[in-house]
Amino acid sequence: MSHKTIQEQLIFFLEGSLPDEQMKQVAAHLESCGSCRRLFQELKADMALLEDDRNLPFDPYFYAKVKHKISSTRELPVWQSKRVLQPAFFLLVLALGIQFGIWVGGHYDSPRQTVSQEAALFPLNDLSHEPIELFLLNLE
Amino acid sequence: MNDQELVRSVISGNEKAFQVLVEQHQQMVLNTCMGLVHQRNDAEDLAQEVFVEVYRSMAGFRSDSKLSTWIYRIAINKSLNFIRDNKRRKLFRSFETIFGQGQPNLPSESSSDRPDRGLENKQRRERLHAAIDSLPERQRVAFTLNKFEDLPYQKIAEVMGLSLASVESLIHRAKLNLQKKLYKCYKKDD
Ligand SMILES: [Zn+2]
Repeated sequence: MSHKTIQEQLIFFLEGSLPDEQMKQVAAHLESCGSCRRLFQELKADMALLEDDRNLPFDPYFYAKVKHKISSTRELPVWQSKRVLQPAFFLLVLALGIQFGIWVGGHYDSPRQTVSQEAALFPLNDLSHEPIELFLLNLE
Repeated sequence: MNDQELVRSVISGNEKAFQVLVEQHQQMVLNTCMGLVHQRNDAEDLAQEVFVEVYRSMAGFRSDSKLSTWIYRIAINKSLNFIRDNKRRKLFRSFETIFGQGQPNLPSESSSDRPDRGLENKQRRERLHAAIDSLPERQRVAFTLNKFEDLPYQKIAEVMGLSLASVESLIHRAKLNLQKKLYKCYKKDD
């Protein structure tokens, strides 16, 4: 078998899920091939790390924390909940943005005849920084 | 107490029953969240929120599926939403950096000149998590349930609402993709 074929099977070889015959072939190849063996060692070390993340020791206060979260958020009125507040905030930002757009449009209209060719190409150049910074500032 | 009795008991306001429900399912919820978000603090926080939601929507639980299947779904949804929100937060933080506010996202300190074991493991873990995170969402969920929870394919199919064949194929592709991504990292490190 080629190196490529062996390398494609290493993750399955590692978990022992290949048919017997293939298990033997991969094992024999790894005995004799240093570059495939190196990949296998790396893969083995990585997959072993997944084990560390499993069955973590449990926080003895877990249930108490759940109870606390339930009771501390229960009394919150609907209009204070994040689900209502966040869309409302974005709607406000959007409305302000549209208003600003209309304002810019209105103010830009009158001196059109006097602007130079170059300025006409970048009509909003000076103003373009403001709304996005305002937006980001509002966001944090 | 079976699932139905437990659920009925919680709905009727029996606190002890809810505690039993939490204790029976807390490890599987934590494992699932941990498998998807990778950070212990985040996973614990999410696990708590999963049970808050379980408590609140208990009345909506349909007894035609198992209680654990329903709880797995809530844990997966919460974790995936958390990951999406996190991505959004990171995007805005990078905007801030571009516009000259906030701290730039510096890469984590290089450890190539300090080859101690702990740091090597930390890098290895970050690399592994990045590779898992880059899998398509359904492959990632199926792989996580299989690897972190040792769930049989049939149960994964139930939780994800897919056929057994689809789950087998998802997990197989997830492993091949993960392997490919990791090989790329190893070759880059040479
Ligand atoms: Zn080889």
